[in-house]
Parts: sequence; C-alpha cells; structure tokens
Amino acid sequence: MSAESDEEFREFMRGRWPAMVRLAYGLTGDLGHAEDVAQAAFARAYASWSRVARTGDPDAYVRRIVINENNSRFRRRRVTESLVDAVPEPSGPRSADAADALGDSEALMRALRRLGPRQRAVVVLRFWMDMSEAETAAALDCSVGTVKSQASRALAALRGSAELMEGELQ
Amino acid sequence: MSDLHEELNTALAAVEPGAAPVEAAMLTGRKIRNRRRAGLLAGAVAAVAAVAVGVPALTHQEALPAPTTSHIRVTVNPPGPHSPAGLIASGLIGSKPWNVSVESPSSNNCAFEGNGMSLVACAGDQGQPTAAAPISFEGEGGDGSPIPVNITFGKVWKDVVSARVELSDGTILTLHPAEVDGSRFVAFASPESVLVDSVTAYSSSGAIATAIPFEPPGGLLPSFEAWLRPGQALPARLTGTFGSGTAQGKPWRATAYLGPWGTCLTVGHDVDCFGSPQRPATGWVGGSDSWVIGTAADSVSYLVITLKDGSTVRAEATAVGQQKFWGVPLSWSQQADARWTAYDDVGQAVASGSIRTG
Repeated sequence: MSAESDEEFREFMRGRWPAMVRLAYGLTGDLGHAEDVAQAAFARAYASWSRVARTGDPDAYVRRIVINENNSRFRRRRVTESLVDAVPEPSGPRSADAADALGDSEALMRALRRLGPRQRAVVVLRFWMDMSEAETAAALDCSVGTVKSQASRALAALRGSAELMEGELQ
Repeated sequence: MSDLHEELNTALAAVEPGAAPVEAAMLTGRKIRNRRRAGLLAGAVAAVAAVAVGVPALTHQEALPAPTTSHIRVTVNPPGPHSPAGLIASGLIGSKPWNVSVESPSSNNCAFEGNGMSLVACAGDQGQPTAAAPISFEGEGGDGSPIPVNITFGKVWKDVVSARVELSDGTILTLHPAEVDGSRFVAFASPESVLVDSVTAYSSSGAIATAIPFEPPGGLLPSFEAWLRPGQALPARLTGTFGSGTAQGKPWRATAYLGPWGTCLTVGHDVDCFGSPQRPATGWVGGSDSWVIGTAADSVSYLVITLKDGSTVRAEATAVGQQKFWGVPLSWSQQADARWTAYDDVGQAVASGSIRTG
C-alpha cells in the first residue's frame, strides 16, 4: 500500500471515527466496547483499503463492518451480556448548557441498555440510522418479520420505561 | 418516530470518543492482511516427523511459505556517540533508513520510524532475559511504503555483548546491545518476506545460545521461546493435530508444532508457545476467547471440563511425539470458573485444576 493511500485512510478514519464510535455505542451501550468495535472495523477496512476506497463509499463499508462486528460480538459473548444501571460517562468534556438535554439522553441510553442486544440494534438502525425494515433485516441477518416484531417490542419497552418522561416517545 | 430519532441523535451526539487510534487500526489491518496472505500460502499442514541431528541445521519448519528470492539489502547499526537519547539501532531496508528507539524511560516500549511509516509501542511487556533465554524478543509487523517490514526488539541478558541474526535470504546482521535507563536492548528490522532463520547470542567468551524461531503458519511474527546451548542436539521437528471439530458452525483444528523452537500450539490464528525443555504436566497452557488448549501427562486419557453451570465438555488427550495435548472450543464466558479433571484409561481421576477466569 502506498504512502498516499495510507494518508488517505488516516484522513478518512480521523474524520469518521466519532460517527462510527457513536453508532457502535448505540449498538453496544458501552463506550469501551464501542471504541473496540469501531477500531476493529477500521482495521478491517484498512486491510482491504485499496478495494474499499474504490467502492466510492467507504463510509458504508465501515458502517457495515461495525454492525457485523457487533453481531459477532453478541454471538461470541452472549452469555456475558449483562444489563447495568450506570451508563458510562462520555470521555470528552460537556458544555454546561447541554446538561439538561443530556439528562434526558442518559435516561434514554439507560432504557436502551435494558433492551436485549437485538432489540437495541433494531432501534439504532431503524430509528437512528433511518434504515428501512429490509435494510435492517439484512444488516442483522434476520427476517423483516423479526425486525418488525423486535421493533415493536423495543418501542413498547422504551415507552414503558420509568426512565423516560411520559410522552417523549410518540 | 421523529422524536425518537432526535432523542437518539442527542444521546449519541453526547458521546465524545477519544482520539482516533489510526496507527493501531492500521497495524491490526496489516496483520489481517498478512494473515490472509499466510493462510493462502500455508495450505494444509501434513504431519511430518524429522529426526534429531547433532548439528543444528538452521532451517524453518515445513509449514512456512517460501521466502522471497529477491534480495533486499538490510543493515543494522548500533547508536553512535552523537545519536539521540533512547536510540537502540538504525539501518537501512533497501535504500530507506529506519531506526528503533525506546519510547519512554518508564514504558520500555519501542518506537519504530522509517520506511515510510512510524510505529509506537512496537514491543510491549516483553519478559526479562535470563541466562537460559538471553534475549527476550518481541516484535511487530507493518507494511509501510515501500517494503513491508517486521521489527524485532528485545531486552538483553547482562552477559550478552552481541548477537548474530541469520535471515533466510542469507543476510547476516550483527546486533550490539544499547543501554537505555539501565536496561540493554537490541533491535533489527527485516523485510516481511524474509524469515529469521536463527539468532545467536554471544558473551565475551563465545556463543551462549541460539534460537531458531517458530513462524506460525497463519500468523505474522516469529516466536523465540526456546534457546539451544552450543552443541545441543536439535529437538525433532514434529507436527500433529490434537483436536478438531466444528464449533458454532465453523470448523476448528488444534495443531502442535514441536521443534527447536520449543512447543507451539495453534488454533486458528491463536498461537501459544513454550520453550521449556521439561515436559509439562497436565493443565491448560493457553487459548483465546474461543478455545482452551493444554498439555497432559502420559497417564491421562481424557479430560472433563466442568463449566460454571455444571455442564461438562470432554477433551481427548492426544499424543504428538512424546507429549500429549488437548483442546476444546470454549467461549470466554464458559472458561470463567471452569475446572478440569484428568482421567486415565480406566476412568480414574488422576489430576484436576482450574481454567483461567475472565
């Protein structure tokens, strides 16, 4: 791989790192795991960078690997998956005027973490990534029917969560 | 739904990741790429036994891909009187300069620069050298421009005054230890396509020991676990499978490689080596988040691993040469609090112990 393509990858990763970590955080609910998943995804992208770059949409490629890495992680470590009440603190500084919004956000993240991994992934992909049911099903390697049922149960659980203020979810 | 989208947007936007670990991701990516190459080249490994010989024939095991025939000039030089602090060694790969230096006094990690790339922490917590293993080598690989290279770096036993490295293309490198913060180090860079045939450590009175490293068929970097004394007979080279099957829908195979490098056990891309000349007793020796592999005494016929939930997994003890091994697919969570019991061929328990916990 040439120094030029290496530099191209560096620039791409620096630019897309926050977004991929946020996606992984939504899927995993844990910032440490999210950074691991995102780093693994970028590493795999780099391993095939000449081909990935030629696709013209490396972002989609890495996003897909993040989702796959997360799927694999749950397949490997399903038994160890446990739900916790505390959401890890974001590692960066927060602005003071965002505190109120973050309070609600943390409640949402706590509720999200109480979902099973599949339901959490459906919520993130369908309602944050705005993927269609078919796209979500393809990404999670399951049927559209599963996506529908999981989404329905996930939303019901989120709506019923005491963590969230009544009326937040429409 | 749009409210949920906005809520998620806000929640996830609040996450502030640390700095992008670009170089670490690239390093891992290079390893993935190199494993693919090695996997393509290695193919199936047949069990091959070789006889011990009295004079070391410094060649690699049969599983290795053939090294490249094109010669790339490699040089290594110790630091001079005006070299920057922390420098261990420098030289050329082809026409490109490289250098390795200790990254910080406290870490003992090294930093590699040159050949169009820069790596930090290219050696982690390599063990301490001893009289029996006079250089504690670690390494990293990277394929910067224009030539993919491996960097091999190690702490040196106090008696060592130099080391001779023989590469598979015939290149001979002479390493001279450099002292940094009370520790002595050597380092060299070599093209990824060229294997390390041997390293011999010398004291002021002559050769101390020679290491013939193991080159994992599916991996990247050589493993220097066993050091042979001058005149010591080369242990027989032997390769054999001691476990295989299907786990989670995927085939797996555990293989033992015995030879002058000691004993190396592989499952997939996981490699565990130990160089002790003493035959190990029954127990686990390594694995990953998916496997556990171990050794067994002669009397052991099989082991039963009891998981935390009370379920059991049976592993047959299989001989490769004079040593028995066993391996089972176990997830990381299954390994937690798991215990093994070894049985002889009449079902009598002969040993027991625990497998590591998470």
